[in-house]
Amino acid sequence: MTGFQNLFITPLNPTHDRKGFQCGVEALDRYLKIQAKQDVKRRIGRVFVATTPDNPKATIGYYTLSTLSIELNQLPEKLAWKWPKHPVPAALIGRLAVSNAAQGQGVGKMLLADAIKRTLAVSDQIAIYAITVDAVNEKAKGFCEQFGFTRLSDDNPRLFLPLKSINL
Amino acid sequence: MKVELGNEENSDHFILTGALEQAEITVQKHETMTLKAKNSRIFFEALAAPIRFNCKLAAALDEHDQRVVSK
Repeated sequence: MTGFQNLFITPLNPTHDRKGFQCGVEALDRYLKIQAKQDVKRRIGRVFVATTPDNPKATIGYYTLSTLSIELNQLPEKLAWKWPKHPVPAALIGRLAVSNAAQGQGVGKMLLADAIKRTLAVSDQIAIYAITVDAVNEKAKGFCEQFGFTRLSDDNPRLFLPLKSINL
Repeated sequence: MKVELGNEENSDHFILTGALEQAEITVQKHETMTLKAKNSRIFFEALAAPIRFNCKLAAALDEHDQRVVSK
């Protein structure tokens, strides 16, 4: 694990090499190369990039973080009176990817832990009750489920992890 | 002159309102999801319970402290 033991995880910046990133899922490679910079500029979401101290320009992984409002429908009466008719604020990990060279080194779980820590750090200032993740395939779904994420909806591959209890 | 200014202001207000509405639609598309009744109940009950991370996640968060410099 030597080469990828110590990591920097920072917001995407112009020094990060985006063009050379390859993770085995073409859509995730293409996002970093083409779309990520624009999304950050338009404030659609934030992109955080993992590098190593030995090679701080080479991107070995990334994740995106944005906010999500979850509307609740037809809560049973005994629960509905406990929660105002507002959507539940959450964070969304829209994408998470590790480069081919760094796979199997625990980089993915460090990216996931980083996203959770960043969200927890702001969850007291701006109420965020859960973190959600869009699992790109079954492998990604299984990866997230190991850490306690569960399915949010029957008709959507999005998973969630509660971060903060609703005080009833 | 006042009328003209008033019109300009009205026009600006109209443009701004339109832009905000558009922004709201865009945000809505990207950032809102609605759960069906059954999923709403499960989600709400998960949030109403005390938060406990499983062992694997707790270990990953500890490992993050050791391995990662996060800025």
